[in-house]
Amino acid sequence: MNEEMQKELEKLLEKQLGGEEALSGEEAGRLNEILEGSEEARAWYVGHCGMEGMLLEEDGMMKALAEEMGAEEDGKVVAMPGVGEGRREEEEEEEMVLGWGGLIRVVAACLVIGLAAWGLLAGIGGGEGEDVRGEVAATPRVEGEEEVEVEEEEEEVLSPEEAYRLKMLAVVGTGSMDRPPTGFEAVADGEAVDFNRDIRPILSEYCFHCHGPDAADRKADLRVDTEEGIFADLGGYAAVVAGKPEESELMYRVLHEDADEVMPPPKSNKVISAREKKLLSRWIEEGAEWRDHWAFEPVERPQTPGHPSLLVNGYRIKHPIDAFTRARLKGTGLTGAPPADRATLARRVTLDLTGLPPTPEEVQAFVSDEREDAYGQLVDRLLESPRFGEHRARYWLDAARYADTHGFHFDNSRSVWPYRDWVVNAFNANMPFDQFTIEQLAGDLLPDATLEQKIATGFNRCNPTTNEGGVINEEYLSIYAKDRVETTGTVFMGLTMNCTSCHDHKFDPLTQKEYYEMEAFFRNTTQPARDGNKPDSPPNLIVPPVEDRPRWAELAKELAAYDGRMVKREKAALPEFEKWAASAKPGDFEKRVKAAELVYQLGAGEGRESINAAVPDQEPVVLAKGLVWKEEAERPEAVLRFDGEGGQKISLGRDRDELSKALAFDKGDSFSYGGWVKVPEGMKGGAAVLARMDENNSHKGWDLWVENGKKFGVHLIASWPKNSIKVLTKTDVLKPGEWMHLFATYDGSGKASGVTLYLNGERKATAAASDKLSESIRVTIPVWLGQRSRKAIFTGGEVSDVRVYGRKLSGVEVAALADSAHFETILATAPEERTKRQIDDLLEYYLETTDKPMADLRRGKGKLTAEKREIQDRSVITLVTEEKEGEEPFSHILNRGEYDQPGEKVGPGVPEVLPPMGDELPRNRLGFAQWLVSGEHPLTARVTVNRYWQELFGTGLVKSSEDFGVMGEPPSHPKLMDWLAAEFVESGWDVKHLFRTMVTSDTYKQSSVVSEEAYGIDPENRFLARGPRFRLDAETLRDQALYVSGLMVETMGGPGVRPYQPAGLWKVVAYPKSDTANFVQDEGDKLYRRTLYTFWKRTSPPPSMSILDAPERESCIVRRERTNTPLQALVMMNDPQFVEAARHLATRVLREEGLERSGRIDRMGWIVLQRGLSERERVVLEESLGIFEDVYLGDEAEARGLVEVGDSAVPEDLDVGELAAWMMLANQMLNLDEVVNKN
Amino acid sequence: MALTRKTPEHSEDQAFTDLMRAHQGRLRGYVLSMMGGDHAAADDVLQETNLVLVKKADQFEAGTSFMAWASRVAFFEVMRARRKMSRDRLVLGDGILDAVAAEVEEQGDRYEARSKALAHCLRKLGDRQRVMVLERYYHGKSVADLAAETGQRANAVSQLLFRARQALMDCVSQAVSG
Repeated sequence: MNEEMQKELEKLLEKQLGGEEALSGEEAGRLNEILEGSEEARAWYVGHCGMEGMLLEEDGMMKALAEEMGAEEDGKVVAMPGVGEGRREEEEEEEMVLGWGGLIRVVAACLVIGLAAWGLLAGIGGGEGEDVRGEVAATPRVEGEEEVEVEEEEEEVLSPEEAYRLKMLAVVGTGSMDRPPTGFEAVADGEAVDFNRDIRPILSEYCFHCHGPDAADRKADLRVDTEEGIFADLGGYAAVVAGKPEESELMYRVLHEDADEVMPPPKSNKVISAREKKLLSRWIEEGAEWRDHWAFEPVERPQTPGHPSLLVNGYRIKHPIDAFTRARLKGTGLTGAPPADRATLARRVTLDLTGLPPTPEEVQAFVSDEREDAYGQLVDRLLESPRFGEHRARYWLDAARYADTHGFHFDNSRSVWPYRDWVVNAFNANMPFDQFTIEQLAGDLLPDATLEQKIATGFNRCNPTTNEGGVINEEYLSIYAKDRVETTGTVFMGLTMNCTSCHDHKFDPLTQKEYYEMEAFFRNTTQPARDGNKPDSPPNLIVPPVEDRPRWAELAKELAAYDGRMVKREKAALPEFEKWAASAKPGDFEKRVKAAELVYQLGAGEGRESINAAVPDQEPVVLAKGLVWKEEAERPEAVLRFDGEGGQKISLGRDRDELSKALAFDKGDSFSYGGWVKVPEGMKGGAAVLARMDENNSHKGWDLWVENGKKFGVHLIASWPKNSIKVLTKTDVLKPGEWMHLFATYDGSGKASGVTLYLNGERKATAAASDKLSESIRVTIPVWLGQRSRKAIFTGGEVSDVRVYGRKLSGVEVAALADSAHFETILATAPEERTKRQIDDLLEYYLETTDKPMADLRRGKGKLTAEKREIQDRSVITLVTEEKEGEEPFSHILNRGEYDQPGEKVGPGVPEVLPPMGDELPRNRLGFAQWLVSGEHPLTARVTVNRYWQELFGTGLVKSSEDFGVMGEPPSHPKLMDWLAAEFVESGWDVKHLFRTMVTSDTYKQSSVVSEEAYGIDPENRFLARGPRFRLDAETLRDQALYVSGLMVETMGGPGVRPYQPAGLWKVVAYPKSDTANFVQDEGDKLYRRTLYTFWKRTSPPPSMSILDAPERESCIVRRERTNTPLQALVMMNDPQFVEAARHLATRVLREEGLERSGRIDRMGWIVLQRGLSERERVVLEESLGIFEDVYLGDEAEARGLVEVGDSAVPEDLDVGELAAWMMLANQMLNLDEVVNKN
Repeated sequence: MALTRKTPEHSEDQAFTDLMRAHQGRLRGYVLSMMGGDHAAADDVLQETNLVLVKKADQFEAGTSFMAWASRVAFFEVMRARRKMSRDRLVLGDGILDAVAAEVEEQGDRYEARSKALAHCLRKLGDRQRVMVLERYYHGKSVADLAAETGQRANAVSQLLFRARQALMDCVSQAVSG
């Protein structure tokens, strides 16, 4: 063991034996390596463990030492500050009586008591206790304790039993009088303890970890998270005996002082407070009423307290929400605040409903609007604004973890923004929330799903994905499925589903199995594990521009109709076909099949001799050295052999210009080519049989390609490899040394699927090695046989009857080329003896070449196809969800959540604690979504209204808006929560109605001004005794600056834009090959769009947004942090976006006519604050302006440096110094507390 | 809870209890070594081991090596615990257990001598280390408790204890060999 290793081992052991933190997997691995590698290390390691054991167990020795030290110098132990202070004497006393370590104590006692006591041991020992369980006596505890008691009395020390009784008396005796509060909900005098509010939080905090839902970790087979468990007979006693705290084991354990008896055990580091103990006792005393967790109980619309005529503190309740909130204030020492002034209210509600402040004119209009329903009118107008949808969508996109890149590895761009626009539109159209839910989770499964409904399923595609080489597909598919379960669980149910992927939930009644049953709904999709680093990672959808969508939908129908008619025509044509088949002559085929649009044929027409003869005359038809032009018995046509070491070539002769033109195919053209080919034995690498490809120009062009003598296929290349199609036969089909007919057809679609390969007239399965062609493949260089422009020479290969057609040949035509006697053979056979294949071929030929109605149909369809392609060229792509066809959803329980440890196979299902899925619902995503919004679900509506409440008030009624489970916070206003949820569902999940209801309450309209005293009582405003006030979100701050300065460009929708950000940020985090490695800032209008449309790169989100607490969008977030940091102020003061906005605000004010200096300041105040300035404020601002003028008026360079921040043109009609000074004033005003906050 | 008092009826049990008691240090050292120094896991295993020892007390033949017998039981309990634990909680790999067990056996021979030496060595520790050792091992405080009480970071306390142990080990080996 070298020194370095020794050091490492020391570090590891120090950490491990310190016991504060377990070794990481990596560290444990190192420990093993070191121990395995060195005997010395092992000896040393064992020595340390041995020493630890000795120190821990040799109590006698330690005791002697302790005593000695005590005697030697009393108080030495406490000489170190804080160590053992004030407790030494007492504890040592106890230790002296009790002697050694806890366990042996128990063992020894049990030896005396006899085996009857083993039950107790097994009970407290945890574990499984198998060895002894069989020997449990009926009531071991009592017996054991009696023994104990006698012993303890001899020592004149209170027995635990006695101590317990005394304590119990103390607690029970005072419990009923001393009503302790819990959480922020005080238990008012005379009010009973509420199980859900007061007791469950205690049980979940201290007990559920070992006595809760997780069966694997459950200790002593006791669970106290269910009514059944907590009252269960445990053999003569029970955890809780209603009405009798003194008989309840739970109280016994909670109050016990002995480390072996007390619950929670000291090892858990959890200590129940005296207040909580009292509450438990009071609850049992009051009858121990059990209630299931509030959030899993059905929503019942509560009575509005006293509504509508209740008078509280002289305040008349007019609004249901106020009835609840005012009732809640009773006993808190708080009274409701007066209404906010109208200007403040106008700003608040405009920000809340549109994400932008009002204009001064809008505020003035509202302030002077004397109509009784002026506020209602204002709210209605705001709800109708398209900005409403933009603002709501912004929150939703956090929850949907929307971003414009894939996230992992390359973090390449992703095209799913049509989904973002769908969300905006859905909010603006006030799409009911149930429909909103169904379409996003399962729009693709709706009958006759519309384009929009499919776009909506982008929700399931917003998760981060990877294309890293070497990743294990199964692992990532599992990661994606988990993301969906967790996102759906959080957004729609407020459940922390992620806790159940590895084991049963520790606190909520959710099992690991139920997790995977839910996962089954989300694993049955066609999305591959790897995104291919492509923006359109499948499954995807072509999204035409809005104006094309009606036609696009019609086209799909019309094309389908054509297909139907063609099928019909096929049947209808049968009589005519039979008549024709009876009389058809072989000669017809020759003419039609072989000659139509035949652009080139090797040696055709001219004969073998003429080719030879033509050589001298026609450049560049050159028969170079080693090129053999021969005859072969096997082939009726001439054979060309590519012989020698290379450099042999033949370019196609005849009229060069004419041929060149005829063969100048592009990606939109359909054409076919191929011929008879003999591949040489032992061929290595690839070679071109026929090519028009410029190797000096990114291999632009096309070819017929033979690879390794095994496969063949084609390249269609604009630029290799990024912009190209490469299609090969899936399997090794070529046999060297044999004549084979290789043929390829292409339909001009620009897709690999448009290429068909035939071997000896039979269609072969293909695989696309590249399928991304968007540019021209046309080249003007000559066409070559047996090579490309320079290389890929088909050495040793032979070809014959090579043909090129200017159309896509049908399968039957290719078959006829491969077997020239194909049709002759068929026709020579008597009609009644023809095989099915022969009849089909004949029919296909007839329909394609002879049947007039079919030709008309084809022409009609061709037109539509062309139109479709045109629209497609104008369209964008979005990622969607698509169910695997013909497969039932399923999943496997993964052992500890590990993808490589699949266990039991499970079908789709919903957690048992929630209402069952109706029989009528399909067992797929659609059924799941419908179940969520059935109206019976206790969580969906509650979680949703809570999130909306949070958007307005800053904090949800349930603060933990992501967790409605047992560990989440209970609602501050449980009845209001249920009333809102019921109202939401009964209104038909009407989102705008809900917002209208909330913002028209007096609770919302209250002033947010607060007295110090009231603030002291309720700093977080959980009692809602005042209006909401909190810092605006990142996006709103940026939007506000753009809007008030007049810079904002309110174009809606479209791909993400890239406004200002510091250079180099992307580069730092990106792989060089990533398509988002280089940030290229946009120009013009795109710099001033609403922040919702900013391009969101997951590994490097817009920095100013991140600094202002925007999440990274890597996972679902339903509650943002709200921090306050110096960086935020620096962004607001210095970011070019904000500085440029200040310039425009200054310009705006300076250009107003007829205003004096103070008038302009006042105007700026109105624009930014939407109110008039006080005299004091005006003085301060004028002073500021004076200071700025001192700096800039005389220093043009300095001023210019400032005003030139930002891309927009600096106004030439204004004095630069004056503009700079006013710009600084604007910057200052934009940073006012009142501006940065919603008030 | 009570400490058992010696009574005539239980003299046989008492002898056994004494043996168990005398071997707790060794057993803990053994189990701790085998569990890769994981205290929590070692606690459980030692507890199970003691239960089995008590239960099988009548199988122990007086006069034979208690430690040999007890360490066999402990070995099985270690293996049983390892089966029940998730793999990522296991510190030591399967391949290394035998080597560790062999090492423990080898060092176990000199336990009596070492423990005698330890009593002596403990007194040679510096005050600070000795106080900490007592707090940790005699009063059973966790490193976190000690850290909180003394206002140090937990890893500083761990380090101090580690050094104390190292000093004790050095002192003990010197005493035993010399």
